[in-house]
Amino acid sequence: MTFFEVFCANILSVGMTTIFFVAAAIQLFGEIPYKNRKHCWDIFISLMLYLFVCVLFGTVFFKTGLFAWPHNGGEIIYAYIDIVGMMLFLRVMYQKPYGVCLVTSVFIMILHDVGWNLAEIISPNKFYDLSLMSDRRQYMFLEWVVIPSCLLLVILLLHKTNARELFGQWEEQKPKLTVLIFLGLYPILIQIIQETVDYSARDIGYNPATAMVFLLIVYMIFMYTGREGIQQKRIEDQNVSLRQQGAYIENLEGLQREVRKFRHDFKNMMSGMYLQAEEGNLEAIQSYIHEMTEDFDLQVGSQIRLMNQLANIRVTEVKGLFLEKMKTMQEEEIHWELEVLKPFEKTRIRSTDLCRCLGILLDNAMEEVKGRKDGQIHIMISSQSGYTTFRVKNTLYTSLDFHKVGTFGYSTKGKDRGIGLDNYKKILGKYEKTLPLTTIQDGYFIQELKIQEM
Amino acid sequence: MLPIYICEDDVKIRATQQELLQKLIMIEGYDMEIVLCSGRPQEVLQAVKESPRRGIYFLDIELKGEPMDGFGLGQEIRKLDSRGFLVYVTAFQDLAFETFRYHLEALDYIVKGNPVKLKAGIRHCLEVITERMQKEKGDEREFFSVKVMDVVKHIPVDEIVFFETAGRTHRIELHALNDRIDFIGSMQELEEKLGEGFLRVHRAYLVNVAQIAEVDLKGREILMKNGEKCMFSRGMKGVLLDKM
Repeated sequence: MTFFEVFCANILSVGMTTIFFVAAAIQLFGEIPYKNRKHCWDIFISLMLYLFVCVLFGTVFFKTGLFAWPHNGGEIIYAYIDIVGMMLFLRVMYQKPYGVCLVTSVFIMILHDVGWNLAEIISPNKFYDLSLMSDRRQYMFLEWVVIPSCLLLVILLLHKTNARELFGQWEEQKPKLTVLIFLGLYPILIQIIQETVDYSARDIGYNPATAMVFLLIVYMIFMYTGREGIQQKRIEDQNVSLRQQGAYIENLEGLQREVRKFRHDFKNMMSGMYLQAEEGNLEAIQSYIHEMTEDFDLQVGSQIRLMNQLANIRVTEVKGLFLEKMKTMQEEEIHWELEVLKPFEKTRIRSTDLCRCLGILLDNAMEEVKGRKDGQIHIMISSQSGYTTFRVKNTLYTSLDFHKVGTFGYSTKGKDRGIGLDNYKKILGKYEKTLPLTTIQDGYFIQELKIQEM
Repeated sequence: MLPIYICEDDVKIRATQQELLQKLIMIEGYDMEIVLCSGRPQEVLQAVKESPRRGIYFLDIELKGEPMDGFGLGQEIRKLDSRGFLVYVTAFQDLAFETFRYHLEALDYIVKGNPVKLKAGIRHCLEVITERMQKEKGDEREFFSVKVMDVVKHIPVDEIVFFETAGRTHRIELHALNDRIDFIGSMQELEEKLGEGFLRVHRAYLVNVAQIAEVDLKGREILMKNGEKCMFSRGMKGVLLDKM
């Protein structure tokens, strides 16, 4: 074949590849940029230039026998020309940073190889003798039907898997230099891998590379699920902090209401005091001042106090639990108090288990005092000198068979209950150095959970 | 004579407290005396160390410029005087008093902002203390003390039903009328400590003889007065029959 014939044939096949490249780029970036006529013109010109350069080099390489170099040396060089050309074209088209363009260009190259390999898999493994009519027909079918449809399939896959979103996410973070270098070495690396796989292939229909590939896949699955877990945890943490902020705001608003109310009373008291002062009645003024300070403590103090205590719980999950219970208790108008004298930072028990245990204790206490006017719940968390104590104390109304508390199915609330404390014991049973205590004292039911941290 | 210690960093309030206490002691004729008024916890501790007796302590919680706060001071005092009366005097109502009571067996707390309240609080405390002292004199009730991690629990011996070894090593469950406590200990030691009134009826059970309601010889079970059941080993049959 003459130089010109090869050149023309190349234009057709490289043209197809170029169409694929552009389509893939559009899939990845998700848009067809159109700024103005000039930009459009630039894109077209550069695309033509790219095509021309690729075809020219391809023809030259073919004619000079560079493609026949050992280890596919010619192909690698050609791939680099292709990558750089594509990168420059993408730069013109999308005007993204060079790094992004390079990575995209390599990625598209990989996609192209994938499509191509797909076609190779379905086509028969043989050399075509183009002088035979049947072979030529087969070859034409492969070249102009199978390969394009495979490439189309890749594009479709990109579209269906929403690659655009993923790519966009990646693009937002600045590409790292190592990634750039790694991807930049793609043509060389793929050759090395290819040769290793070929080299390690055994005659007995077995290739160690398969195990490696599988290991890689499993590793990726682990990475993916691991990251998903971390993300889940982060979302939960955020939810807790959101709830916390919500509760905090609610509390502040409540506080503001109280202050407003107090301000109103305060004005009245002041005017009363003013009258007394005019009469010189010191005692009355003193008692006024006492009343006022007490009122203030009563109205505003308790809210501030609760928030202070909550702030000392530093284990997010536990804090979340308390915020949730706090809401329910407020809704059900249960009077409760919380004491966390020293910051509760961490504990040996897994926080999910701890939350389940505390949840059971709190639920029991809430159920007991629910609907009672003088009912009280007092919660204490105390962590010091290597021990953590959780103590839930509630007013006791129903008389109970004390020794049956915590046995399966026993409850003062009727049938099908009493599973809570049984579960509680089971959970604690998993841990060494945790002791549960139960006491009835002065009309209160007290549950304690003590954990030795060291 | 009960010694009274005051630890309060505000000179004025300290003086007021002292005066109030002195008046009350004189008027009511309490058998108490103020031994020390100080703003420094170390001084108080030193004084307690020198003459260890059961005392009354009025302690401030926030001690400015001191390495120890009222809670820490209470802990140190407890080491020296396990039966003393701790009363906390605080400026704020947002005091974690249950925590104080839990760890230090503190008696009460008084809010000091208001002199009338301070006076009433001190009066009330002294009344409670004298009442308790008198009650203790008449009360010969025996207590079983057990250390559960960082706290000591006191349970009246006559309320204990039985001890049971739990599945784990050295873990013992105490079943009492109003308490259920898990702790780490050995049955052997308990047996020796509690003496006559308790019987090791089974490898896993140490029962309070006074709490036995019925003995089922056939099923080899003891029904306790609170409705709980314990097993007993074959060899204990005779001993049990003797005791009943």
